[in-house]
Amino acid sequence: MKMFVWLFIAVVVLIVVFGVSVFNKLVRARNQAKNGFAQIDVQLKRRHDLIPNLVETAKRYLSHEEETLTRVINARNHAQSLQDSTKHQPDSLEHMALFAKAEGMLSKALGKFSAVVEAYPELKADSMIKELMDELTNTENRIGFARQHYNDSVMFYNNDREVFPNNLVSTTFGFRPLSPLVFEDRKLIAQAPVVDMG
Amino acid sequence: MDFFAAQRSRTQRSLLLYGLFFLIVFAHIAVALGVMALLLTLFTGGIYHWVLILVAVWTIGSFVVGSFLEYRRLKAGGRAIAQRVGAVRLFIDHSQDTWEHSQGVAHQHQPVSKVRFSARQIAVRDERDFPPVYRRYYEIAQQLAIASGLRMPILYVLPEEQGINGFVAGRHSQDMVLVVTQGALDKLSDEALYGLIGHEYGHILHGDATFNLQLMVVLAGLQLLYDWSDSINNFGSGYKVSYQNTQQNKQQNYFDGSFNDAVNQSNPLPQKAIDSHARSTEAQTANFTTHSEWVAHWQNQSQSQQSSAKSQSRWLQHNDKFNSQAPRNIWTLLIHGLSFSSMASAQLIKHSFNRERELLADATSVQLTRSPAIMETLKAIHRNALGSRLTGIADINGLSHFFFASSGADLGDVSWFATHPSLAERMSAINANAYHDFAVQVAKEKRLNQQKIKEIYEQRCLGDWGVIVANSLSKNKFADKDINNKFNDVIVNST
Repeated sequence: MKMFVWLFIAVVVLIVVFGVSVFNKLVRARNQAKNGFAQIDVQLKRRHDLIPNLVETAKRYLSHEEETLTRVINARNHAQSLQDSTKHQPDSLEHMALFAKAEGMLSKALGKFSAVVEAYPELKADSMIKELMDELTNTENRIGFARQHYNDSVMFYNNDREVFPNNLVSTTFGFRPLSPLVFEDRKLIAQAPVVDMG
Repeated sequence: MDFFAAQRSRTQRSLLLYGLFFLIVFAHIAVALGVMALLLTLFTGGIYHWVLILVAVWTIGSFVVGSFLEYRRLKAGGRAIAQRVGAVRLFIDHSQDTWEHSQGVAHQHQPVSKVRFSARQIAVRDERDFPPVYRRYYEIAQQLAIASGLRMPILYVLPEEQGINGFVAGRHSQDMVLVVTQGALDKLSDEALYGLIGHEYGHILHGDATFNLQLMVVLAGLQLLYDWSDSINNFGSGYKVSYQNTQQNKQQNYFDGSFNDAVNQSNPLPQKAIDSHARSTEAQTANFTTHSEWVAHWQNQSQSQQSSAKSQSRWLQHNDKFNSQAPRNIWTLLIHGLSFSSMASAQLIKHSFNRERELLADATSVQLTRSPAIMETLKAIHRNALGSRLTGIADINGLSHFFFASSGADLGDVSWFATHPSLAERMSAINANAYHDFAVQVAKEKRLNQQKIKEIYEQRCLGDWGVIVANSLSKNKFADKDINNKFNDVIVNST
């Protein structure tokens, strides 16, 4: 009889230990995903900081392309103001949706800006512009990798959260799923861009 | 990245390594004691315990001392290893920034380059001042640090190496170094460089960098005995290959087995041996056009090299290359036999641990770059004349398992002692169809080149092509000096 008591206690202890280790694992995974999200912000801020210099340098050559430049600057200011606002938390979903939209518009504006730079050979050959465009490419790559890392972290967190023994713990302690980055123009991205060479 | 599972497997792997190490040490001690006891009973009719204790202490001592010495050397961490191989650091000098800031001078970035080159580092004030080839390296390393979630390691380059290779080493996350050869920076496209650096980040991610240092300590312990006994043998010029190395006898064909003997640390693999091995491989594979021929060839190669490795253990008994001047008595033979087996087991440990780790790092590279960039890297190595061989580093055997691909210090791609899986295997593991296409294309190009050479040969009436093709492509193969020269001209002019 006494042995059963000891056995029962041992089983309970094991379950508690298991629960604690799973809980800690989920906490670490979630924090890593949050960190990944903050990393994207760091790279986006880098992009924001780069743009004014780029536009100023390009202004000298692009007197006829006012609207491209102003569109870039406006998009950048809008995105930066959203990023600086106090509502910029990973938890506030609608703010994040607005922010993602603003960044998407900025990316589009920058795309048009790059096309314009390609069209003006003297602008393109300017060493300062070359350097800044290289910086921009580097920053875009970094943003891409940061997003990829965030999506990977989210995947690992969600896996840990939903796998069978762990999901008992995660539902008990309220671990919510995180969503990976989804881009508004998903269908558009999936198509290859059509470049008109004519 | 699922760090927890990776950490768990890493701890298991370290335990496994240490377990194996102790097992081998004990096995060797047991063998040494057994042999000693046998000799004593045979020759003196009694077992003197102090002799056995001496043998045991001496064997354990040499393993411990070897490991300890290596541990001391490695305690300084990844940076020490980078210095040891003579790597040059890409250094961003922030030391003036605080002073300038305090003086109220904002650091304006000028497009004029301000690079300071020295023997140990390439120093700039800002990462954008790096020469383009290093800047590309730096930026790719930064980007992949973001992709993997790791701290960026300290970047080094080996400026004298033209092969395509690289490694990571370090004791903990702040100590990591990433070393890449100049050949890799010059010859790899952007995509391929992403693949290479992604592979190295994969190693850091899975804890291979620290594990490899532990491996080095273990291997040094096992190999100290072999180095020491080998130097005893070399004393008095007992070892024919090394003896002839120092003479003017350049004609020696290293391929028949003595090439395989070059798996020791005191003789770095001579370029001649690599060349003759390459030429004989060329001769055997010149007419391959299908993938299955290649596969059969590699299987044959691995079998023949396996049997040659086994025959090395009978080397002492059947070797008549031993110069009689060597101090050859029962003791040196025993020591050499024991130390050889410990060295061989060290190489086998290296091989078995390293193989799956390399394939895992390849897979991680694909994950980090989200593209088969590493295929491009492997193809580039395949195409490159030097491949991934390193020529300038002494004592490379201890480090050979660190590198991205075979550094030429081992017996090449396919053997028990190879430190890496072959390029073919790695490429197939990533994308078998793409690799098949690549192999067929390479074989076709080779056949095309053969055709061209044949036509030139016939044009210049240099001789019977059938006879030529049947022989190996050794330059000095022909007895007739005239044909030799003409043949050399053909080879030189057709490439």
